[in-house]
Amino acid sequence: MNMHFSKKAQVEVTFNWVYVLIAGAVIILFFVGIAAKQKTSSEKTLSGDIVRIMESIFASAGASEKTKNIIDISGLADYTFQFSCHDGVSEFNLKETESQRRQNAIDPVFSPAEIRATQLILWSLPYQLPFKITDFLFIGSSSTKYVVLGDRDGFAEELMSETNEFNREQVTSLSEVDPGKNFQVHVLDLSGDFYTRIPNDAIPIENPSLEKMDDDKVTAVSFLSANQIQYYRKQGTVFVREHQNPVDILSLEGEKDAARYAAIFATTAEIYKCNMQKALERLRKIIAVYQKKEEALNMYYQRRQDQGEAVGQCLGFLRLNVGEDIQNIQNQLFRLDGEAQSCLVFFKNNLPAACNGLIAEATHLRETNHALFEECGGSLY
Amino acid sequence: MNRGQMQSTETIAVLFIFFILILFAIIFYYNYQKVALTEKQEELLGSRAIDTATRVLFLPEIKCTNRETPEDNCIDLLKMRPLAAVASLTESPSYFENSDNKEYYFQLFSYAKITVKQLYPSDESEWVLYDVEKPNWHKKEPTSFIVRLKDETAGVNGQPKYSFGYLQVEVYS
Repeated sequence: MNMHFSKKAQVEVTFNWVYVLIAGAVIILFFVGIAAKQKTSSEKTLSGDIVRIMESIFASAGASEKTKNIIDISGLADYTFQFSCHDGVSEFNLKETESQRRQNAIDPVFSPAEIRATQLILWSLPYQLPFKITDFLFIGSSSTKYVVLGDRDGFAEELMSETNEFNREQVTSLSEVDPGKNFQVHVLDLSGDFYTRIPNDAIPIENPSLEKMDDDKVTAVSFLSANQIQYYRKQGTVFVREHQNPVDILSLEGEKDAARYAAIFATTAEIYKCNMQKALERLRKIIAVYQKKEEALNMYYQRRQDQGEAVGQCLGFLRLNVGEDIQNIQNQLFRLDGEAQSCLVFFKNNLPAACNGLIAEATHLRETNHALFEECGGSLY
Repeated sequence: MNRGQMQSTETIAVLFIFFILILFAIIFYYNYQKVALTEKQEELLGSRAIDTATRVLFLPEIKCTNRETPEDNCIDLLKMRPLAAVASLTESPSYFENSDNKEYYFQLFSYAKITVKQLYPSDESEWVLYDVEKPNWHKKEPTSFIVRLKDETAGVNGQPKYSFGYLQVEVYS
């Protein structure tokens, strides 16, 4: 067969192939571009969804009192949740993605700075000073190990029994700690040994496994007393102080003391203080509410007295009692507000804590409220 | 028409059909995204309605306590009454909406309306605790809960009086 092509035909065939190749390449590039853009957009949407859903879970968990929730996040095991808090506003996002940072200036959330795990453990406890102010939300994870070292007033036993769901271990010395494959380790020095043993020096870790971990993955908190703490961070083979002055625990103590647990679940002083600022802001809002309730109760007892009923000391507990030992709720609420305001300033400006007055006023108000209930049957809260 | 012209026409026709197909794909994708966005907005609204309602139910500002123990699904009238806006006075904002607190509580409730209505004994009482309407809103999602209303000053022998009502939380999108 004689296959003879003219020169013109040869050029035309070559041109057609080049044309098809270019057109094909453009079409392929177009679809590859769309796919790439779609992938980025999907990842962004997914991370946004995750952050939004987690925020919703945190909000629900935080609003429901005294609940513990275990959230399976095994599908997100490759992602790192980041938590931070500055100037009374906490932020939360996924580290590896461009997810939007979710901010919250209302709900106190105490957590490690980073979480990478297959399970999140959420626990909420009501915070009272002396009346309920808000619910504290504590966030831990299956790979955040809490090491309980020493004891203070039997708190270690309470801590171990209340935190069954969390990854925790009680030891007698740091050398016993086995970090395993955990993402982070947080040491709870309940006896305050870190602080009292070597007040101004670094604390040797003396545990090769812990020493090998990244510095930002090992933290510690030392309880100087029932109401003061000092945070530590790892620096090579030692723990060093994270801040100069001890931080106050603002609580009336007792069982399931939310402020004390907050000090445990926050792994840095900044997260603790910043979230306590939120609680103090809310305290001031709620004091204003109770001032209005006190007015209503006072009018009620006044009316009863005007009708000739015996109201005993009720009006005294609310407004009339003035003296060194006996005070009234109206004054106590006023002073509590003043103390909350001062304490807030100290917390905001990172000054040495001076919140003893706040605790004292809250204690007095609680006593007067008990007395009001015993004498009159009614109470402020 | 010579062969060259025919080929050009053929190429133009192919390109035309190709772009028509692309156009169809874009229109389809646009409509799909529009529907997906609407569904997502509704899902978000539902989720926000539940979150806000939960927050209100546990709000320490209005929740009842009995000797420091919180009472579930109960609103303390002595705390709530002074906080609510007076319905007849439109100029009087509630505690949650006054200039000192508006910004703070907006972070908690966002665009929403929170109302408490007494049902039994019926006395037509209604309190609007919070009402910040979203400009140009197009959907409102209401969530209601039956609650007890406690008044420590209305009972006999110093005992509190309980009535029943509902708490309605409406969120706007």
